[in-house]
Amino acid sequence: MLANRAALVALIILVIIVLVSLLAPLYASHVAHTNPFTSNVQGSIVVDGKKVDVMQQSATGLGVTPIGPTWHSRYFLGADGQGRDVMARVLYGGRVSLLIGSVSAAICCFVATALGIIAGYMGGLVDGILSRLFDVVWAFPVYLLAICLSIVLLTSTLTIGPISIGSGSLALPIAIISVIYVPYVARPIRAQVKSLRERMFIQAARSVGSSNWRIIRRDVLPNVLPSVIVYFPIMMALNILIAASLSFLGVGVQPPRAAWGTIINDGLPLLYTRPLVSLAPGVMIALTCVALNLLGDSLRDALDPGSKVRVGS
Amino acid sequence: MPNSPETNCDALLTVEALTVSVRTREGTANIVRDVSFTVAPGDFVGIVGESGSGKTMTLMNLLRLTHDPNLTVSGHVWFGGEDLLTLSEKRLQEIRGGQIAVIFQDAMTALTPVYTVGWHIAEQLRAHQNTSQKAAHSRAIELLKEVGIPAPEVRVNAYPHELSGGMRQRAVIAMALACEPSILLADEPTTALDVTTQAQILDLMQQLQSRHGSAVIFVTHDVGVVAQAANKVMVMYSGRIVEQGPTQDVLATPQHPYTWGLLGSIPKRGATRRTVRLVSIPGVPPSPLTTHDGCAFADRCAFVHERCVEQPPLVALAKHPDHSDACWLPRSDRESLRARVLVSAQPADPNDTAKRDQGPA
Amino acid sequence: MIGFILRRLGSAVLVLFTTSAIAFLIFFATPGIDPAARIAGRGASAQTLAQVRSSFGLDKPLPVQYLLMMKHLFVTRDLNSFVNRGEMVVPQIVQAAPITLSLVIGSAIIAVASSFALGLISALYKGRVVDPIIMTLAVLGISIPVFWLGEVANLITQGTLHHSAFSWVPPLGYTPLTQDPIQWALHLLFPWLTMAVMYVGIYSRVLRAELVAAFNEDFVQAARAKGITERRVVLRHALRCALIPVISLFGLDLGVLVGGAALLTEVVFGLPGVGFLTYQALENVDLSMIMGTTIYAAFFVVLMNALVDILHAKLDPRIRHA
Repeated sequence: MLANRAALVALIILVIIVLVSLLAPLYASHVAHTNPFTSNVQGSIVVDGKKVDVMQQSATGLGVTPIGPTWHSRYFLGADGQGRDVMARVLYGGRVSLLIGSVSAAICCFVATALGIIAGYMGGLVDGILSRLFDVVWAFPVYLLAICLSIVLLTSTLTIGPISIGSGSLALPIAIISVIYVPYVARPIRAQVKSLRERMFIQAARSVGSSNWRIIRRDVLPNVLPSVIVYFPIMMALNILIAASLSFLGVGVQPPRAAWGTIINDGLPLLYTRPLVSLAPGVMIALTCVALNLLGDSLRDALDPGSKVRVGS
Repeated sequence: MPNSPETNCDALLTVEALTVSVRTREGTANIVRDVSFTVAPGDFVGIVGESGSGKTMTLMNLLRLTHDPNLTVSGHVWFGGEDLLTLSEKRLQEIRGGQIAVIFQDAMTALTPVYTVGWHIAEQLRAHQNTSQKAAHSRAIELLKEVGIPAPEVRVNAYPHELSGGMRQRAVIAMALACEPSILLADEPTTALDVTTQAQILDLMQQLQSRHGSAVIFVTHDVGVVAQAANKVMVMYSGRIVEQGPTQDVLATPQHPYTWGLLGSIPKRGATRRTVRLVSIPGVPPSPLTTHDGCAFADRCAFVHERCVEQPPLVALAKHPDHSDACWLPRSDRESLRARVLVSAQPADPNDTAKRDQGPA
Repeated sequence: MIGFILRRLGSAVLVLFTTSAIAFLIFFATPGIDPAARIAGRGASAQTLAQVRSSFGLDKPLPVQYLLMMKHLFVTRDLNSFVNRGEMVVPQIVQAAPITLSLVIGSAIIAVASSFALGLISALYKGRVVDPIIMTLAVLGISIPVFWLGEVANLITQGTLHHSAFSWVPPLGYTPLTQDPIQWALHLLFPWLTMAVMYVGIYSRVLRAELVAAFNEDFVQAARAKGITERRVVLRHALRCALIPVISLFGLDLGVLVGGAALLTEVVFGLPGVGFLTYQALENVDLSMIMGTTIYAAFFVVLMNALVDILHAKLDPRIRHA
């Protein structure tokens, strides 16, 4: 009962976060009356009938400090170092972070399921090679892998056949993040398929003369799918965290795009004067990931009580 | 605390009105209902029933082994003048393994996989005796030898997964015997084994019992095992004892229709080495969640009548006061009804059943 | 056991080779990118470019280039950073390594101790009030970005409260253990705690799940039936078995731990460890340095992985004999 209630709360939080992120342009144009992607260093607004500069002389007299939270429609959470509305940026950042998280989780789950099924179903040499490959990717310090890829691709465009990935494209962080956790999902799926294969109904299906593809589609996939569904929200949470960390290192989402991670980064120079700039997106990340993890937990309890899905890292 | 009962002064263990219920999401499940019996020194008691009949729960709760906050146990289990159900955890620890030991169904899962057989036996010894690690080790070798494990001085250092199923079960029996308990509780100790090994383990338990003089309470779903080994039998259905008595009496003149069903599964009367699953009774046992006022077997009973909406008490036979059953059928009709059931329940071809049962072994 | 160790080390060498080959290929064989220009840095002279080409054998086939790279890194250890005016890479890494090790080992100890305590309490009191509280905190732990948590810690300890409640916290930076153990610990305290939070979140959850599963195993009931103390049942039987999967997961996570969390924590707290070195190299686009730190980190991770696996086998006889 408790788990169900937690799942419901998690789901409501998620829906709200997704909705407000989607409505970011409306908020920016109709509530905050600002473009969160252009700097507004010279601007001023009216708060409680008084005219206030967005960038104010700091108390020490050295440099300027952006306006703090007004708790009004304009600059609700204050401004960042370039005089941009933090609230509007956080909402826009949600779109990018959620996009990266969900797309890379989808790619990761898809690739991992395919590889896991192939390895578990074929067995033998194919299984051996794929399992070794999982080991290698897993052993590789993943952040360093991302850094290596990013630094090489920082200014140039990677062209592999018809796909070309520019340094500013979201495709790069998505691709990197998708690869990193493939072994994490693929390994348990492989084990599951392997034990499924031993079970009788697949033996029976084979003896009737079904093709491998048919057996995979009719017997293997429906059995594996619950685990994949359980993994999805958990992977999405992990991916949002990784994307934020990469942005922090400057190798994730590139400006002018804003993701929660980059907004935290933007706020770091202001950490001690205007902490909300960094705190707000961090709270959004934590809230989203808690909701996703809780959802994953209750999905597991409902769909796949036998499995031991691990959350984290 | 009430005094121990004055009846059965020679009884080793007296169970009175043992009731076990579990609180679940769907409601309260009564797993064991009002079970009473006594065990005398040297007894070999067989508890028979289908899975879910509450036989294992009865056994495990004699020593309060199921730690579940949702579980409620009531009744009395008298042992040596003390009620095991109200005893302090500390005193209970002295009895567990020391005076009452347990043999579990599957030795593979009952032995902690990361320790050697010798370690397990030494732990059992050192739990109750003040012996050195070294003395415990050599005693473990002796015990392994006694239960017929070849090359015990090598096997003592083997891990559970390195032994065969039969060897593992022998090792578990050796562990149970380590502190020379006066009662052995055995939960289907032969079920996980193949037919030949089953027979060997059963022989071993009988030998050891006669040598050490301890009483055995043996849970099984296999009437053949009871026929071979037990001197007393209790038939359980849906958490209650439906029939109990000396083995030869119950097997020769079974009184309860459920017992007839059980015995109907045996192709040839008098054959002791038959191990047959209980398949001949139509229907399935009721869920422990259902609260029935009447006889629980009524739904599956061929002789159900209007009296059956009331719970029948355990009533002893006039001529055999040790033999009792819980059924409303008139005693005078039982003989003829039984004859009908036991004849019609004969399988068409006994060899067929034999083949099927030896199949998975 | 010896056979197992040899086999495990053999596969470690294989993984190490593959990992270094991947890192190498990313730098030297990414299509459309001139590795010489990358290594030499932005706006390098033609002379520097030529020097890079000959030093790394860029006119030679890839396998030779790979071997040359490995030679520079592990044999002669004279890999130069061209961006940083010929500064040697390997000595810098060696100098920074103790700082990273201090961070990782300290926080691992804190993480292991706290997740054991929390996982055990949670499993023992399953279904009571403390269990969901601990598990909710654990979910929170795995849902907070490490670097953000570090910044929040900085905000609290280095911000306005630095002059009152947290005046005992030294400013960001590092003091070597050999110089002043107390300052060493004080400098590392918040980095340790920050990095431990996520791992406490992960392992307390895993340990709880494993313990709850173990409590339902026959062997726990069987151990109880032996008449040993409940404490012994929990610690020597249930926990001992629940430990095995936790240890093997820990081995798997080491790569992420060293390559990710440690790097971020070092950057946030200004600890000049290997991660910080990598971060600086990233900002300067110093390829030689990144190559060095990546491959040394991979080396460390693979080695630790092998050690954890051997420990795993020591704990679990079933693996040893498989």
